[in-house]
Amino acid sequence: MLSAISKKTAEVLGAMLVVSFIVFLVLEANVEDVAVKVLGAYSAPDQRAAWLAENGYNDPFLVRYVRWLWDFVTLDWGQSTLFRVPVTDVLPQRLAATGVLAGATLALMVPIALVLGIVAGMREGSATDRSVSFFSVLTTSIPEFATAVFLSAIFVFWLGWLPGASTMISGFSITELILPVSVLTLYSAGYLARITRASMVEAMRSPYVRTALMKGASTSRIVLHHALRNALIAPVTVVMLQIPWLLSGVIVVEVFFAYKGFGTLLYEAALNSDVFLIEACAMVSVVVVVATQLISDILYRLLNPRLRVAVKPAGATA
Amino acid sequence: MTHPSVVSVQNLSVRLPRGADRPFAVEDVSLDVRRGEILCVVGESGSGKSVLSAAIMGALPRGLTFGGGSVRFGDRDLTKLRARDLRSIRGNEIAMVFQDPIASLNPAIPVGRQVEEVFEIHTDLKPEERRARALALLESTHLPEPARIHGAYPHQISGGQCQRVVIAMALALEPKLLIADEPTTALDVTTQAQILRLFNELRGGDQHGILFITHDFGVVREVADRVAVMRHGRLVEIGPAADVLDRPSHDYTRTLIASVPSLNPPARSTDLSAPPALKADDLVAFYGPVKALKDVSVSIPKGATLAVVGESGSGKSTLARTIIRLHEPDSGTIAVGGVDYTALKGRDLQARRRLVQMIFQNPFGSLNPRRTVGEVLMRAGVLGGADAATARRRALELLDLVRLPREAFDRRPDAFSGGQRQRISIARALAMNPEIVIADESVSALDVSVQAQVLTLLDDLQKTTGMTMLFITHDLRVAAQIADHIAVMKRGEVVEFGLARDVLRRPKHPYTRELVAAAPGQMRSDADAAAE
Repeated sequence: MLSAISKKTAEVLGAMLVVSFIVFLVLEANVEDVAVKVLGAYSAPDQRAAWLAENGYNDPFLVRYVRWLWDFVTLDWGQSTLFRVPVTDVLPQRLAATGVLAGATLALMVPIALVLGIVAGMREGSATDRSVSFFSVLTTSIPEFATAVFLSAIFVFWLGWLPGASTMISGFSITELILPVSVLTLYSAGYLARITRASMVEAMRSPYVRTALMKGASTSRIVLHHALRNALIAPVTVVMLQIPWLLSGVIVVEVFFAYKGFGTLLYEAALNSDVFLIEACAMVSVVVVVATQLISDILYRLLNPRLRVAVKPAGATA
Repeated sequence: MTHPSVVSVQNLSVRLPRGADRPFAVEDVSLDVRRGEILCVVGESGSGKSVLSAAIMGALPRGLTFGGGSVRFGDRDLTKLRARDLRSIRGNEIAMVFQDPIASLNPAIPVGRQVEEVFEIHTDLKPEERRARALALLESTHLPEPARIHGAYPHQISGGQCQRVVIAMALALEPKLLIADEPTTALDVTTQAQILRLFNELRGGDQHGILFITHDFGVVREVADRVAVMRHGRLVEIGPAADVLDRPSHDYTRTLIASVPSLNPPARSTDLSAPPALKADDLVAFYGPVKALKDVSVSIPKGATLAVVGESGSGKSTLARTIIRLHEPDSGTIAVGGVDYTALKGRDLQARRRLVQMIFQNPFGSLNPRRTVGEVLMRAGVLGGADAATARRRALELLDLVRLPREAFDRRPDAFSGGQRQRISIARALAMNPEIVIADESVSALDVSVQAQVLTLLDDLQKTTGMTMLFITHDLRVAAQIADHIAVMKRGEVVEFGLARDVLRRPKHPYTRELVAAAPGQMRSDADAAAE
């Protein structure tokens, strides 16, 4: 298991290197462009040349890449041209804000989706199963901006129960978190519920569940002890895939509710061609994606004992 | 028989859902199982034998309903019990052993814990006691190193060991009735022999009544005290094993028993002096890091049949796949009709491949469900070089040849039974006019009466077309019926090769002797003689 994890870690580092190179290539291959973005469109050509020389942009591409990578690793992420402060001053707090949003969404969405999926998958074809499937398809097929408008119409404008913006200007506020979390939960719970249902159905049909039934095990024991353990493998992977989505894919929801998170930051950075901020956001996203992949791999192994030992080659008779 | 019956099935009927091919899965069946005996229920697929066992457990598959009769167990009727009461009986007074032992155990829980679970459900034993009892049970089913097995996951032990665990689990609370549904079907023949021995031992203990469901008359002969034969959901006959097996009173039973292939090879008239149609020398092939073929050499005279026999993992299927180059050999040569097949590439290989055709094991998976039988056969004919009109004529001839009605031409595979589909697969292989036909476990998935017909068909086809056949099978009895030569494989090596009758009657290698002895259904004296 340990060697498998270290192998996976090496793979993950390799992937990060490749992505970092692509990020650097896209944003900094054209040095003139970088100078224009940093100094503004109205800067004089000699001004730009001086800036480029001063910041080592006349060195060969690969040298610049290695230096840039080292700066990134040592947390020297440069100045944000938009906020006029070091990137490291803005990014962490925005990331934390999105972390709160994502965490709250996961804390709400995962239990709801798992329970719905398990209840539906326990009795395939039952009325519960069909209503859960209907609910899942309905919520997943409505895009989050539509849900956001719909929920705001009800709870902000009609009932007036909740604030329409989640700026958190006067400090952290639970009520401001409710709407964005609900929108994200509605959108993602259906998918997870369907995945859970499918693997639950498969587990309930399996010979080992029949064995448990024939041992005299009760329904709750069969579900909790026998089926769930095997049925959770797929949903866990899906949850791990949803974390990176929550980080960057929530731009729409963050912008809609004016929530000062990582998504809005990336959005603002892109709008204002804030090169160093974009680079930092991209690299942080990559780290999050590969880290969750690594965790999901480890969880997968823990849940599935067949993968814990070194994988045996398939027998001669397939 | 002085023992009282433990379960008594009276006029039991189980209704199938509307739209099925018959109204009842089980119709008016009466039988009882007595303490200390093994009652074998034999039947082909669709005979209702598995539904009968499910009905006795009170666990009918979805869509099926009780249609009358009763299952008396003590003073209770199992067809009328509530779920709660059924649960307290299952695993406690009635226990079950299933067909696929590895899949029957939960892959995420160590097997010892799964045995302990029976105590957890039905008793108040403390954890240490549960563990001690589980270890004792594992030991009583002759598992080596019970402590190690106790902590192992199902995938870490063999299929036979898994079945012993399942049996240990079933025996945990000394059930009055043990139901075994095809418990050895998924196992290798030597493992099967061991598990059957274990069942005979259980009967000897006089503690349990055992209901043993099987399709294999060989297995019946090994274990049964009494035999019940089922067909189309009805009981055809029931009686003491000696009567039913040796003096069957019903025609159907007689046909079934006659279809069981015997280990005695029939006399064959193949000319074995012909030059080899297929010759493989020193084949070496790897499956990942595993050396699946270790210097395997075989040769088949033109028009003859070689059966390659072995247990799972012996490399027999790899040999077939390597010969048609679905799997690339790492070294060695294959000559087909004198041409070096291993050196062929691209278009040449495509052209020569036509000469070697394969019939697969699963007649349900190997035919495209969207094409009609005619399309399948014509396509094969066109690939074999014929024009459309010739291919069509040939396709109709082939249907005659494999004894299917010509109407089959316009129908899709789903309109046919397993045996008929296998005939279609054979016709497809022949449509290319191959010189060599490789049959990989081609009759293993078929009922014994259908199997006998397909074997006869293959034999006849060989006589009429002069094709050469490589027949891969795990069943020595099938090999005995069809082969001129037999090659026995074990762990990637051919351990014995010779004329079929020599290999079967005077096996030289100890492993061949073991296989011959383990083949179920021989008269006791034969088996003993072979073992000595």
